[in-house]
Amino acid sequence: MLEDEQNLVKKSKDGEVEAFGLLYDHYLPKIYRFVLIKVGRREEAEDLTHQAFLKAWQNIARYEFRGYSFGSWLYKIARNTVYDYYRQAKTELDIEDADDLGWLVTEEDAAADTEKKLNLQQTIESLKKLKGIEEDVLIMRFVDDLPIKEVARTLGKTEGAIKLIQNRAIKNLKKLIAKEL
Amino acid sequence: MSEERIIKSLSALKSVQPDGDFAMKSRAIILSSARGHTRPTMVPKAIIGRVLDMGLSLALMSALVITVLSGIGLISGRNAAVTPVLNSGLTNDASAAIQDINVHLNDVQYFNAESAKTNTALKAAAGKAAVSPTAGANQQSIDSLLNQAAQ
Repeated sequence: MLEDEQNLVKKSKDGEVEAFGLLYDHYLPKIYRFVLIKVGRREEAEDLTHQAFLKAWQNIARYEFRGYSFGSWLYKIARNTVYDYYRQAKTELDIEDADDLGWLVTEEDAAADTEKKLNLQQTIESLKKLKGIEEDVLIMRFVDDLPIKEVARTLGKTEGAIKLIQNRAIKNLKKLIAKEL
Repeated sequence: MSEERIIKSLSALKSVQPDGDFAMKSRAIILSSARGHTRPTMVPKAIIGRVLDMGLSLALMSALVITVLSGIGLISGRNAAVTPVLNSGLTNDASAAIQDINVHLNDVQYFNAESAKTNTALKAAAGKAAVSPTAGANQQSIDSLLNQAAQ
């Protein structure tokens, strides 16, 4: 959790734009990664991430601290934004329709590590075939390092349920990757 | 691929970062946009709406009750509902009239006093004229002159 996060939230509620700016700076990479892995395309990910933060800013008065980070609330908004996008567009995003997944590897290691890129590509492609909630749990837990408690809060499940979903998701992912190979 | 390797692969996705230009533009747009909602400490719109509805209903009902009571009062001649309003108006009119009357009475008293003084002065003047010896001689000389003129 960002240090003094609740103070920043309070200031944001009072209309201090710079306070919200600091929250934005802190959470943007995490929310962007979450959205990008889900939609697979950079342009859509940028649009949806922007929408999610805009909704958060416009509705920040509704956020109430209940022992969970502001990030849980942001993830909820981002998740709903992605699902709304799919509902409205009625798009079943196919990984083949996505760009070349160049975003998977950063510029510095792109040339050196093709194996890494292939592994990541396989992982992403298989991740897309999981159920939505399994995909969400794996991204939040292992990409964005959220604690189980916060994932449970974000997804509206118990901590026990999240542990079960996480175990099942890893097993399913393992099977899917094995099938691809 | 082992479970550990899968987790490691997922963790490697942490290196994915948003484009700097996108981050800067998006931040600027969001922070320059107006916030559309109020703080939770403020009264929600629904409650305000209900209060306004209730207030409007009460105001209309009050207006109706006043109209009905005024009508009944006027028709029955008792003027119960409008008496205070009329009373205040009548009191004002009466006060003004009383002030006018008082002014007139003061004028009358003043003229009476002045008239009495004039009468007294005239009487006094007439009395003096009657008792004056020079006045009698003057009168006699006037009479004789008139007689001469007549002859």
